Amino acid sequence: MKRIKKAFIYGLLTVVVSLTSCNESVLDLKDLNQFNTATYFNTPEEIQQGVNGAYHALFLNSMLQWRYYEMYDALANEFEPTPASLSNEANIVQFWHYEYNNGSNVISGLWQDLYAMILRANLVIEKSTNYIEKNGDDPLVDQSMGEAYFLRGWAYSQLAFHWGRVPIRITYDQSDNIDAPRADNVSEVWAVAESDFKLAQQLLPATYDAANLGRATSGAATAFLGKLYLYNKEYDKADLEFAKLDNGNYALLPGNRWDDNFGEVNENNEESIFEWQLNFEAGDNKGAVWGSTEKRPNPGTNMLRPQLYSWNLWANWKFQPRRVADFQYKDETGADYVDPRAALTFYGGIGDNTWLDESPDGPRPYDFATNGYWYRKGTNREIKETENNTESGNNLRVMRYADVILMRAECKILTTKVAEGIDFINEVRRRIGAFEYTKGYSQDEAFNLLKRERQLEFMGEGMRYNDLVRWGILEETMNPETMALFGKNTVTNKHYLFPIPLTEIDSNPGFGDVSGDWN
Amino acid sequence: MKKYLLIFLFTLFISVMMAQSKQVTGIVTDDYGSGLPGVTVVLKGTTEGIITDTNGNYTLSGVSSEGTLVFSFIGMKTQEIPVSGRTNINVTMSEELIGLDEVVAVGYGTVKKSDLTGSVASISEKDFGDRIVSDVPSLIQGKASGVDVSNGKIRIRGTTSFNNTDPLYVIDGFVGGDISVINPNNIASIEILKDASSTAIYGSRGANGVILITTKKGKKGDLKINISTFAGISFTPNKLDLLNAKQYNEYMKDNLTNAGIPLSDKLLSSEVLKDETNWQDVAFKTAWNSETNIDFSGGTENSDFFVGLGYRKSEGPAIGDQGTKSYFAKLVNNFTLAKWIKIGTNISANYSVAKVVNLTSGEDYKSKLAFIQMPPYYPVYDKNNSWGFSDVNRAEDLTDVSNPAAIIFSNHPDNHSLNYQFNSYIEITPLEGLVLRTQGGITGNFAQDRRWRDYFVVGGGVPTTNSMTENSSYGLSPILETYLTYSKDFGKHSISLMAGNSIQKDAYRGSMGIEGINYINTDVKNIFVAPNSFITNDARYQSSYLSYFGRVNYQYNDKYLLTVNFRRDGSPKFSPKHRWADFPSVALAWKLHQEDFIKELGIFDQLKLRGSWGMSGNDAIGDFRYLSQVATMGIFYPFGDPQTYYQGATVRENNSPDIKWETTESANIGADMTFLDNRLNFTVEVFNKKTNDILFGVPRPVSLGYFGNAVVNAASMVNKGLEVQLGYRGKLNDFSYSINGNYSYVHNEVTSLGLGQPFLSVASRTIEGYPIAHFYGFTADGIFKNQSEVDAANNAARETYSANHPDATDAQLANIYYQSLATSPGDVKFRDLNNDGIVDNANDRTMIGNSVPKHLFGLSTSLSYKNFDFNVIFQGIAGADVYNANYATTRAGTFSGNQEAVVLDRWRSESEPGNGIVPRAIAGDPAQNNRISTLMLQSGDYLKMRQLSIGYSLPDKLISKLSLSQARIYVSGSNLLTFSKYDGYDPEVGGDNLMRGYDRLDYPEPSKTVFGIQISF
Repeated sequence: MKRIKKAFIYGLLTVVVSLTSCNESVLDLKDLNQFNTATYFNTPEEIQQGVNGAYHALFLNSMLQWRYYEMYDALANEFEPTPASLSNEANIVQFWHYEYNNGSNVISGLWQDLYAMILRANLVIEKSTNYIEKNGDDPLVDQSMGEAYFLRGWAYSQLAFHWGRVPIRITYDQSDNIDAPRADNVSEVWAVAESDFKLAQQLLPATYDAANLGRATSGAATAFLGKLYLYNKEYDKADLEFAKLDNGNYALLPGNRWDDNFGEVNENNEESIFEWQLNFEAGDNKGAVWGSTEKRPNPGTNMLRPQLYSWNLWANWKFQPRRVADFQYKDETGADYVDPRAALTFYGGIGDNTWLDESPDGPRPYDFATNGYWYRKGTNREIKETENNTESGNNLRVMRYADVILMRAECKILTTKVAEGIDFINEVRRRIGAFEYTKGYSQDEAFNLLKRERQLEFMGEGMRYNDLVRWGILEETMNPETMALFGKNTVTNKHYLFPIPLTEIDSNPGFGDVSGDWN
Repeated sequence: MKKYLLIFLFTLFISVMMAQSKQVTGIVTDDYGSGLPGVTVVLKGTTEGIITDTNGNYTLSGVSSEGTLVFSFIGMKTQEIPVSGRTNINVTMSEELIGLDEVVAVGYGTVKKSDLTGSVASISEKDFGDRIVSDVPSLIQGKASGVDVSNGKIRIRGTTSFNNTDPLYVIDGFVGGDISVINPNNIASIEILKDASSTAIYGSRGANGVILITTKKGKKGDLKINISTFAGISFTPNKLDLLNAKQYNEYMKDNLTNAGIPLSDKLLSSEVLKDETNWQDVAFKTAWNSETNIDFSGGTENSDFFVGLGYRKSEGPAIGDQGTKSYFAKLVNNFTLAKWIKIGTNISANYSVAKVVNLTSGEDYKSKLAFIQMPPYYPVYDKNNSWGFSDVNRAEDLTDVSNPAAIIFSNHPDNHSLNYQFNSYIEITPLEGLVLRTQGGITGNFAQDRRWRDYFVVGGGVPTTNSMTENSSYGLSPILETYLTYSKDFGKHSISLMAGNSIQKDAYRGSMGIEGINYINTDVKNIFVAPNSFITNDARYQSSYLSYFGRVNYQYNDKYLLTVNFRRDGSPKFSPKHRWADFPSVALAWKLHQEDFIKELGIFDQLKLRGSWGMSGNDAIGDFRYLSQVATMGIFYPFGDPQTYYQGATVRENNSPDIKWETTESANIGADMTFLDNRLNFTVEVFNKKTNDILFGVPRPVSLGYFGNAVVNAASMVNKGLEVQLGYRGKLNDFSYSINGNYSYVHNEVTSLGLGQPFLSVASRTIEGYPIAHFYGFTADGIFKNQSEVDAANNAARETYSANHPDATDAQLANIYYQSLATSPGDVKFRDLNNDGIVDNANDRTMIGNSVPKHLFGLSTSLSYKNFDFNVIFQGIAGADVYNANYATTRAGTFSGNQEAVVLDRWRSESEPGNGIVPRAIAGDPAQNNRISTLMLQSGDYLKMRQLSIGYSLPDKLISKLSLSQARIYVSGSNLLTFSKYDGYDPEVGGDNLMRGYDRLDYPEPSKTVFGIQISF
């Protein structure tokens, strides 16, 4: 018995020791769910996924559809909040009142999302460079790198224009530059964007096959480079860039297809320079809104804007009645004139008075007495009776060729080539059937015509606030409007820049001076 | 019956066998003079003995006059009395009141309570009372000092980390056990290890304290059967007061008109003045609960067993709760195969089926808000709508709220889960004093959550698609531990050594989710037949641990005790260079009552001083934070014509390559005392815990482009505290009673914080020199009663500004306001703390409240009189504030929708200024009355009656007639009374460490009353 016990004990001890004397390799685990940067982005396909991720930054909370254009429409008084949105959309209504501050989540969100785009572009640029160093050129890698430069250039031009001196981050590894200070001069920020657009011009193709439509083209880089020069008042350089687009790749849509600049059909057409791509898909939570789609399973890229801007059950923004008069002016004979874009831009009054024109159920008379003014542009009410649950996929045109033509007009007028400028204005007016300017105009007169043309052509497209700021006429233009609406002049010269978000100030001890809780 | 028969036979036997020998008689009584039946009286060194009769009398024959009699009885001090020629020996036995010789569980072993050197709170069976609560935290709440239980979350000795501060559970020796497998009714005792000398043996997972749960097992003896069953109701202890239809209409008119919003015809009509629904009454119901448990236990010389079966049907009062059925099973077996080998198994399982709509996120969470905000003139149902419920019309009602009943009743959850733990051990004793124990086990779970959602329309016409979602999750966590213990006494020296290791590998958990939507025919809801279906989730995680540990216990002369622990742990959560860490501890104790100079005082029955120091760790952070992860989920872009999704990949979050363990260093000094024949016991302890290298997300510049913060080991925090536990047990004739109270004070302070920059999480600010997550905001100072007060404030602001800025132009000055351009009469006036004339974010926010309770207390009292027993338990906290996270939408007057009744006291006009605190109603909040301020805080102090029960045990005569050994009936209630000034649902609110004390409309813990029966055979 004793021997058995002994044998058993030794046997058990051996088993136990062999079970428990385990080496440290049990601690070497692998992440079973996610890739990591050490092992990813090493092939052209993976690098292209990286740039797709940079494009996806356009879907982040505060970028294009959700907040960004609403904010611009508020700042330019191009909409009127519905009663419900006055209470529910206070963070946008603040902009309408010019009462936003550095705590605004719209401002801080936009800042964050632009820098997220920059980070993602930097990742692609670094990984592309590494790939090329190791494997030599590859067309897909070159193109992806070009797209990354384009997106980074776009982001930095937004930052430069809206915030001025901002931190510059142009490499993926920022470990030596974590608390980056703001640039000493805004020109340093513009210089990054300029260089990026130039590199993008070289690397990007002029056109894509059908499967890749929507990616940035060399033409898009050229247009944004021209716009950058224009915003910096370098009119000759700007004109030189815009002229390059007169290459047969771009044209204005015919007047009867004007709606295709905002609709779901005929997207990425000849008038389109760069579009944010959205696609309708049925299902819950398919709108690219209400929180980032990232890290969310099965999200969608549905467009919310048409729902919010029309008389749907969930409607936030009506057409601003004050804007109606902008479409009424005198023709060259001094007679009253209604611009044809009124009927294309809004419903009611001098606007469109039927809807569902392109639906088998229509056309129907528009009930102006009950509804008042609503946007027509950018909504789908000519084809759909209701649109209640982000039921569309309209691409959002970030820049269209009409803008290029009018920016070219601006370059000409401001460099005293007034007649050439008027010609460009007329090119845009001719397309829509508005009378053409034939008289001789002074530079000031021509510039005023240009201002009106831009306002009418781009109403509701988020352009006007930017134009007023760069022309330096924000206070004089908007204060009469805030006075009429709220009984106060609320616009001051600080509003030429956005406030530096409190979130950045609180998280970046090296940021540098910010004066007066603003910029 | 059997007992008396046994005594009779025994007496007969002994009197026959030993008739000619000397006979000793006597009576054994307790402290109060009552005779004690069932006391074993044995002649020392022999097996000859007897048991006292019902009156405590005994007669023992054949006793030599030099012999010694040993009197023993469970729960009493054993006494040895020399016969010394006497024939009559009467003995008074005293209770071991606090169980000094009770053995308590510590990590990898047990120790006599009197020999404890660390700080261990022990809650034994009798402290639990009638267990009508259904979870372990509720069993603990209020019963141990230093243990903060709020809303199901346990924090031991303060908040030791910014991260996970959940304690480690060790269930019957199984490290990292899952408490959901345990039927609370099967728990025999709970030990809470509080100081580092007790927790260091669990190394990397001990920093948050350790809770050791020991379940019941069989005892030597005949089969014993316990049956307990109860049934009763649960209901909400509190609802919110809302405006009625008339008040609501007045409110909406104020709210909209003040914002310049034209009223709709509907709001001006009389149809909206009719009270249709009190939505709070819709939110809650009275629910039925019941539970039945049956245990079988017993044992022989070489084995014991316990089988426990339980069934519980619980239902909460929230309308989305359609009940949870839980089935528990437990089997414990121990076998002594030979003197040198023991084996055993311990199996627990819980299967649950829950049909509960969790109102925790998304639309479901918003429905809680809607139970406040819905217009009172709406009925719940509307037959005209295909989905059966009413829905507001945004254009006519001018409110944006969704019918919460539609959301909740359209939800059909059906969740099944199985949790189990299997554990077995082999213990061999090759030499005397040497024990080798190997224990291995696995804990696992499988859960399947299915939820069908009907088509419905809410939110003023927003339709939803019908959907079937299915999520499955599983976990498997094996562990193998081996340790060797050697104990030996050398004269006055007594030593015990322990060393072992622990391996956890191949532990997996994961989850999968699928969803089907847009069903055209809803007869069959299989996701495969859905028109659209997709994968929503697929995740799989691995984990492992490797640990070595050891302990030395040394005792000299039963007076001086020393414990030294050591553990070395490796965790895969860190990069290879930061993977290993060491966790030592040491503790000393001095049993002063064994010293003559204390004995001479005649005051103390026990007096022990103890002190300890040690380190433990925390690695409860996400996996692979040291790698820079590539994000792909939800990242894509629709290029092409036709548009097609192209997968994207990028980096979203900062990586943290250099992170390492958090370590908590803690020191503890305590004294345990008992007086008055052990009837009065008193324990006092002070502790100082310092956590270093706290892993936390340092806010990195937003302009880096990452989401989330970078995790670094950058913060330190201390928790200092005092704990007192006091108990008294007494008896007056048939009336016996006991009172136990405990009190803890904890001071928490953040001592360093990365680069020093404070960080803000909504309303909570964490900053050096203050407790974690202190509330931060503006100080409200009444309201502006009229325009001249507003003008005066603005003029004063301009004067101060121009004094500080002599160069300011008139145009600049015109833009200076005390608060803002929009501030009007009826708006909140905030304090300008730095006296610069204006109220601004940068300078006028301050620490306005404390989220961590400073004082915790518990009191339990038991009384018994003859066959009646009465038990009441109170628990409370003080020194904490609660932040109303939904203030802006439910009581601020800025939301266009119904509000809590506090808005009745609002400013309406100069002549009707309200209570001077509640501002005017105005949609959109242009003047930012809702900036985070003292208006959103209230004291969260409370005292709750956690349990109240009254029982009656059937008299012995009756139960013996029924062949029972015990029978008791009782009525019991939980959570019946709350004393608090807080006017929300419940001042006991949960929350993570960095955002604690947020009232997110968590429904109050239900009140319960039940009627129950306990029977033992």
